Amino acid sequence: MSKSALNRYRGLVKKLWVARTLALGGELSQDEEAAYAEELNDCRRELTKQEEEQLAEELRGTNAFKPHGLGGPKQLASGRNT
Amino acid sequence: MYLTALRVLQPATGAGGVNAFHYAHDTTDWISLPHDPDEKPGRLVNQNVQVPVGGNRMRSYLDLIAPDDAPWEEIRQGLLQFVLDHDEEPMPWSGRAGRTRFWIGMEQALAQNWSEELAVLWRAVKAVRLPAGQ
Repeated sequence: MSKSALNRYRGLVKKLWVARTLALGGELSQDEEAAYAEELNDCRRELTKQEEEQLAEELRGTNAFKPHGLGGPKQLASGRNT
Repeated sequence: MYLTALRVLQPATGAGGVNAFHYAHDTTDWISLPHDPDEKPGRLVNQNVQVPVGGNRMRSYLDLIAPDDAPWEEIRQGLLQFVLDHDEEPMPWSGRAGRTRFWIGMEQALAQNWSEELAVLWRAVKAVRLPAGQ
């Protein structure tokens, strides 16, 4: 249960990061920010003390939970009429 | 519907930009939608063309296929999930999230800032999409 809450927390932070990036300078709606905050708090309440400390350590990184992206090909194959 | 945004480069002039297209499939039955954009693109209903089509080099793309009447929020949530499912893989990415299929690809230079490039392509498909029934 606790392990699941920690992974859920990581996933939510990542999802929030992507959502804000897609908003391209625009902000998420207040409702959406509040929904994420509530879900994050719910997850946090389920964490053990050790997991809290582990999470705090991970969150210190500036790119904490930033989705990775592992690159792409040097050039895209042209398969369509562009 | 099939929505696509492509960042293209015109080799002769060096001009670049994002072209976006909206095709309708005239169905809300997502099971019957094509699994591949090239399989049956659909009926062109709208386009935003920054670089004249023809002979361009494609640098990045975002394709999605969803029911014509899919709410935009459903598609957006699908994209978020799709990205989280694939972000630890090299591009190109393809897959389904809910009722929407996605394809995302970028050349290496753009993939280094893939999230910013994806946001530009996302804005382009959002801008070109017309409400269902048009």
